[in-house]
Amino acid sequence: MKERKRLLALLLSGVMALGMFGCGVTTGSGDAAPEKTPAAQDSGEAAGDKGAGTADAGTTEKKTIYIYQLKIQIDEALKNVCKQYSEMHPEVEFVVESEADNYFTSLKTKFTGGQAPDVFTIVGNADAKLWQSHLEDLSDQPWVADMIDLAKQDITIDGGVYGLPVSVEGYGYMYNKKLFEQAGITQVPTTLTEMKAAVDKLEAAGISPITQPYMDWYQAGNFMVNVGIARQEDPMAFLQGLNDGSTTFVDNPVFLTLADYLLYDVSKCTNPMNTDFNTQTSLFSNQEVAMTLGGNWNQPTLDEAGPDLSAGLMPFPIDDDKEANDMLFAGVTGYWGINKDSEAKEEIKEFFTWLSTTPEGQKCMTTDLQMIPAFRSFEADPDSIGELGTDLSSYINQGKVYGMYHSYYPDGFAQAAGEAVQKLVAGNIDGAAFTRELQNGWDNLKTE
Amino acid sequence: MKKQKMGFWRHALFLGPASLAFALAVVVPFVISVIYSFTDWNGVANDIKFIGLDNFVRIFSGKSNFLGSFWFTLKISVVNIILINVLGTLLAVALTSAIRAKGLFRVAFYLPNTIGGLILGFVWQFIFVTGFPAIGQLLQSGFFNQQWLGTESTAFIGLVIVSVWQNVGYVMVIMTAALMGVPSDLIESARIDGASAVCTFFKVKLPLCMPYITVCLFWTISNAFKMFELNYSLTKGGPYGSTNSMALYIYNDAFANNKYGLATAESLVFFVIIMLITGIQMYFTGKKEREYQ
Repeated sequence: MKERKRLLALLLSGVMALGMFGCGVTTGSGDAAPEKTPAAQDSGEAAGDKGAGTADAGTTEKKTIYIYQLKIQIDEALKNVCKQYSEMHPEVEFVVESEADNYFTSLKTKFTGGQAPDVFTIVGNADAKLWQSHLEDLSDQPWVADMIDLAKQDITIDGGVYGLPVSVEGYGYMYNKKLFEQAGITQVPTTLTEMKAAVDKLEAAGISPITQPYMDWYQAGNFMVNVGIARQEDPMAFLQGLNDGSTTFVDNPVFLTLADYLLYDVSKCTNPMNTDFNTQTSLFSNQEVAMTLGGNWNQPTLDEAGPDLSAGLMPFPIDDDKEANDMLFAGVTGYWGINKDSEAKEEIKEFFTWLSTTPEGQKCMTTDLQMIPAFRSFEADPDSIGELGTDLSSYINQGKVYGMYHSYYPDGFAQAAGEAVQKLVAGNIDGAAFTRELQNGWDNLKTE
Repeated sequence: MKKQKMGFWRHALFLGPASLAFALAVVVPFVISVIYSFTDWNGVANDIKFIGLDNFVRIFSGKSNFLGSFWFTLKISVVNIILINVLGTLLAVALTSAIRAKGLFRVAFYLPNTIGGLILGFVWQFIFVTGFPAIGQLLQSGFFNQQWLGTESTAFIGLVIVSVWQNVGYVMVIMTAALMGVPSDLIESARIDGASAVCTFFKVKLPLCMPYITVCLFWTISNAFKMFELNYSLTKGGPYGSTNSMALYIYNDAFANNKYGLATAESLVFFVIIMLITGIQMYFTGKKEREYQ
């Protein structure tokens, strides 16, 4: 009998050891994403600290706000802003983690692994719907009324606003001003004919005209295909129609024109199918090519390339309609949502209000984080947003912008669309087949 | 009666912990994923709806291109398995013969195996995208100037090159051990009987290495079918999804396309396929092993 008891005790302790092992497995899976950044470990420790917050119970209890966000370029600046805020509000401290490539995967694993962030990036409408059950409704916040319409539309679900718009971003062709000058181009082309003339001039001057990262589906699927959607008469109705079957990509004239234009674009690239994002960026930064698809998000990279490089944004001229072509594409590409189960909800709301309504906060947004705000009451700082941002700002102020609709795509459509573009420019399919491919992709991925 | 009970406790003591660990780490997640495969869960939301066999219908009706990625995986696996085993064995033969600096070569060929697939993929991506064109420009060679990762066939070849380079060292190590374990008296008597070196290799050495070959085949087959990191980092499944391995396809459906239910259904199909293939392989090589014993 005694012996049996001892065995039982042994077994039980074994089970307990296993239980710990089991926990190890679940938290481990939270980091199962292929890349584990050192920052992820930091945050893990910080999350651990949260529980130990009672240690300094002598003073007021500190709350930790864990921000997990997508814009890796602002990581440093955001940490500084948070530090400034903590100095004014000693009751909160921040842990900021930024990740670009695996953000979406890691976010999911963080939630399932029990390390959910308090604040995280939402990239648009479809994403907001996906995360809605975890998001705090922010409709009653003071800054909501100040949001520009472009920003409000994407983050509103059933009348509720679920995120703080972080910045307005926009894209077109990014061009090298010096190379344009060298080739004798005095005005940026706004029609297809002018574009072809400009490309000829560049080639005559021995400058390689265009590079595009057709090796990746990302830019093709998100930005090039958006050109076709944004140039529909009523893009929102077009998207709605795709879902209920009343509109179609197949043989849509805008998309056929776009396909022809992409074929022209790719014919002016060297090794397009072997060019990825890094190659694209380095070619443009080293002034080896005159034009490439780009947006104001490229500004920090260009700044690193040195003051010698002078760049601007110009339209993407797919046909000869001057008025329709002389536009850029812009939208809010990121919002910050609040995890509705966060303990520091109220503190975060205060932080958001500080950022968007007080002069100091607004200054942090425009000069430190270098953003073009999505609010009516304050404007971007021209010195901080750089040449690309200034070009974009001026197009926005003149009302010459189309929207960005990739956040309304069904999940996975950006990739399917990007792959359709790849097939087109690789010469596998023609324009008509390209539109059919887009339609197939949409039909397969839409949720009924 | 008492003795029997003690037997149970003893079993529980020695087998219990391992069984429990296996149950927690393998069986429970497996059962949960079977349940998820009948739902339309998107991986995030709190409400989950049961949709019966819809996910499986989607897979086999071709609405999801999972079967396309299956064909790709099958093709590249066959090429990889043959090349890795043949080259690995050849290397082992070469490095057990009387050449100089054997140790150095062994280390050199084994080294790629110690680097993670993701890193290898990124390194080779740089080589294909930047290195090859640079060499091509220098040599004016059309071979290097191709858009290596940009066309279906060259991306396929690129993947084969990297995965063979990565995995050949492992097979080499196992086969080296096997060849060195062949008793020298057998080889000697074969030589006395007048067998040529080639004949000795095929009739004496290889049959005696059969258990090792089983291990190599099993390892390369299950590895080839589970291919993921290389596709993820080297080609990202491109161009236009033509190099999506099954594992990468499942990953994309689960995490990029937010179709968690569908992805678990796909991984079940994946599981069955791998089980069938390795089962068949184990059966045949096991038979061969017994033949030679």
